[in-house]
Amino acid sequence: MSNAGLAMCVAILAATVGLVVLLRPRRASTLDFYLAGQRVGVVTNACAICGDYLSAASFLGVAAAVYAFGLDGVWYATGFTAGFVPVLLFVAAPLRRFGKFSLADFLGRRFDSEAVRLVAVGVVQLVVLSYLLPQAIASGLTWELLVGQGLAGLSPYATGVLFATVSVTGLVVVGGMRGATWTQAVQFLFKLAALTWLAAAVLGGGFSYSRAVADLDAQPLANPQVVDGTSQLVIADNRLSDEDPTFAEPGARYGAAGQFALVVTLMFGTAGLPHITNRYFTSPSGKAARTTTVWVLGLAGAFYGLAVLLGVAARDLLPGAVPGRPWLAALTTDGVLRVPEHALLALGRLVGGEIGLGVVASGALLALMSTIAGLLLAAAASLGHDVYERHLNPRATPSQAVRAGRLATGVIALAATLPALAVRPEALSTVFPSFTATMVTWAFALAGSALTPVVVLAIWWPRATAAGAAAGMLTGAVTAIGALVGGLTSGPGAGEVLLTPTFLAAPAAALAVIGVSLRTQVPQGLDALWLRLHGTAADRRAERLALLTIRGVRVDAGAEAEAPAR
Amino acid sequence: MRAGGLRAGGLRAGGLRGSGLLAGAVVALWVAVYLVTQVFVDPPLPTTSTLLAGVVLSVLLILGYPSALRGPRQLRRGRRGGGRAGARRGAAAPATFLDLGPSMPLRRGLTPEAADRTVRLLRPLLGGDAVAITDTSRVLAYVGPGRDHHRPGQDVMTGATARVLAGGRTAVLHTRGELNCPDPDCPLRTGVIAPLAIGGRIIGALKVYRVDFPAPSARTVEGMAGILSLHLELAELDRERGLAADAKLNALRSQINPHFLFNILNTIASKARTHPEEARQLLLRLSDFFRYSTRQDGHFADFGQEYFFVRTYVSLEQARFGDRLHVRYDVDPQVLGVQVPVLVIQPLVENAVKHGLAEKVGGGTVTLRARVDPLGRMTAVTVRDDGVGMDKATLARVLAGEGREGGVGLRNISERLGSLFGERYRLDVRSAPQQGTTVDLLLPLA
Repeated sequence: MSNAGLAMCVAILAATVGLVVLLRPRRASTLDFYLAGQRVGVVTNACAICGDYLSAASFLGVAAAVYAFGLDGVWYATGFTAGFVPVLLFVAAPLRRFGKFSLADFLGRRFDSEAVRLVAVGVVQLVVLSYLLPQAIASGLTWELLVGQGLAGLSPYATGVLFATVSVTGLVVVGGMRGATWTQAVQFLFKLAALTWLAAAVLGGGFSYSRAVADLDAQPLANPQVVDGTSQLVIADNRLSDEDPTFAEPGARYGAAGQFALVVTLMFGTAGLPHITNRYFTSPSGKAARTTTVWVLGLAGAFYGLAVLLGVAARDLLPGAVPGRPWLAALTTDGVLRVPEHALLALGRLVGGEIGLGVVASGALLALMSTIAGLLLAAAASLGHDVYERHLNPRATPSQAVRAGRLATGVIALAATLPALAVRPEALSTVFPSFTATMVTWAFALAGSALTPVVVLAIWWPRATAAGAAAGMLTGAVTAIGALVGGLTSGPGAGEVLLTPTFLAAPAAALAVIGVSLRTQVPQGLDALWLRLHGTAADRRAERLALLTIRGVRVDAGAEAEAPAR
Repeated sequence: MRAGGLRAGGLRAGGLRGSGLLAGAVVALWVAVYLVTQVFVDPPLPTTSTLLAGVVLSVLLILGYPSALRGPRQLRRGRRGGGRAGARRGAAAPATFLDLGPSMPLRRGLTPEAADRTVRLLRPLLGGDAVAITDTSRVLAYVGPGRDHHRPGQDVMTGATARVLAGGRTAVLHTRGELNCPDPDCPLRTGVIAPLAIGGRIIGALKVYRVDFPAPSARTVEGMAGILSLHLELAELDRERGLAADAKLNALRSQINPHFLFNILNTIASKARTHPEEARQLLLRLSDFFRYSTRQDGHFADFGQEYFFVRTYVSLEQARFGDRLHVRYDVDPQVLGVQVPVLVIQPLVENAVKHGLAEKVGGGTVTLRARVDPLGRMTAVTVRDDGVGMDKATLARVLAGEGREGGVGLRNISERLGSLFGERYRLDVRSAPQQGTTVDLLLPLA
């Protein structure tokens, strides 16, 4: 990539920071909308949640999966969006009403047990690590394509990994990226705008989605693979029938069980993602949390819809564009990209030149950095708060707590960076095509297996006990990790189901919670706790209070307006 | 020498305790090594270096494992008894009760859960087959043979217990007849019942039974009951200390309220003749305010509610100051759901208005900034004014709680925060003459 594109990218990032500062609400009115649960507040909050949620796996990975596998890749978009349905139905409002700031804290208080809290912290760390790793890898890839050269004697890939993790860790440590609601909301709007612009440009250039799908469906789906040392197009096995796989029919990637398992895994994972559930405390009331989730569903659905469209567009448009474009020829084999994650970036450069590449790359970098920041914060805060402040040093002063949090941030970042540096993305690409999305599903699998069943039962089943919750989390985590390891070591047949093990592990975890809970005594004082989780009186009170606040302000505004007249 | 012996005991017990876990960890380690060196990396590492890495890591894991089980060094030093507790598990000889030290469940009061954990802890120490704890009317916990009819939660059945609870003296029961259990199939034969007392008031009984002869040692049981009583007494002291803190907080809170009311009523009185409609609105506003401030209980409220207090207060003050008072709210919505101590933020704003802006010609702006710091799990609240400020000496006096009336507010706040959070909060005040005052407040997320 030339200096012009890089400059564009830097300019866009700087402009985003500028926008965040400029758009920061200066008057109280926006906060009042929040308080009243009115649309402006709800939408801002929903944008912030989307900003945290949409990672590189969403921004580059979904388009890449669609690019590489057609319909089987669309399941990623479906699953990532549908993940908010269980959140909406089971988790959002009660979690907000309970008013604890993290999953570990919620489970610890709900069961009044430090053991549950510590187990939850452990599982949260695992989820965060397995989520951070693909983000780090994706940042290496983006750098490779964007800058193309390493610094200080490192490879471009390693430079990208280190740049992203070190800079975000730095930002988190000095407290620059505090994940304030406005920042995240603006970031999401930028990502959505980048995709919208790309889609508009592609559609304006005469691209027709239905025609492209029909065209692509007419020929068998083939992707580049290294055969005898050279990269050539190989037609994938159809996992569902004996015919060659095609773009618009399922089977290019997953068998019947695998398709089901993937969607279930993605659906149940979201409710257990620590950096997403942490955001639910932003809403002023439980009801507002639910409305927010509805908006999140809509916004995320729009985003993923665009990602699917662009994945198809890349598949359709790139082969015809190779002649006369040496940069594209270098990335492709017979018109198909060797690393599918490059799909959106290449499409951006094709449509908008260097500036287009800069826009898409900035979107990807923003997605990466905001997600890495959110994850690091969630992990470091749970280590600093739930472990350090509660167990190692209960009398920690604020500065000690912050120091512990910073140290934890560094440790987690290091733990995610080292494996990312050891990985060779080209090697991974042959094992798991579109691996960014694939690896993120492992984090979703872990969260959906170990955390979601326990959280849902903790909220909806009064009989659940501390021992049951701990047993459930351990069962879910062990089953999921065991299945993932088994899936990695075994072949593609059982492997694809084992790599998305939620539909096995989540029921196992739920059974463990139920079985162990029934054998242990329910602690006393559950009624008050239950009222806090499910009682709507507090919601109504919050709403009344909000209305009063705003009504009072309007009265004063009138009084002030009269003031000059007197 | 002795310490070394103790450590070895702890190590051995630890090793026995977690050997299955260790085996699992080693297996997991090798799987991880295989994945990292053979699957993820291209080209795969040669066999020799893979094996070497695996062996080195395994040795590290096995060597580091016992110390991981024992926990960090500092904790280990604090729990000297832990080593002996580990050794005790192997030998049958009862150790001293001090071993239970910090984990003593009854330290938090005589509840069924605490009693249940206590009897389980005590049974091996007391040499009885069954151990029970009752309060003055019900069995709180029972462990051992006969649990089918001596159920926790039941009323006390045996007459002997009733006598002990009434008389406050230890009873030794040598026969079934003395034991007097209504169930003819009860396996218990002998027992000792000792009272649990707080400062001479009987609040329960510790009962140790055996299914054969002789009866358990009355001295041991009595001694144990004495120690349990001591713990219960400490629990009672804790509770009383909590009550005292509550009372203090309530007193401080009621000190703040009239102070505030006084100012507002003055404002309204001054408006009543010239702007009766505005005065009526202000009175309504005031009634909203007090409806919520009197209805709240406990020491914490949502930030959203405190924000309402601030807004209401400010609108009342703006009625008085007119254009001279501007307030800027820079509040991240994430803060709205946070629990904060009641009536802490509003007095800070009130101080800024009264002492910062009221005396400044032309008025000024108060800024309320609130953020959640997700890293340190803290709420950061800043109240800043561009008013008259104060010099160092005045600031020192205000912080010490002397001087002008505003200092009382700050001192109230810091005292209340101190009793709520101990050392875990920070309240910083910065000020210079003619340059305004900034109050920074850092509160842990409750």
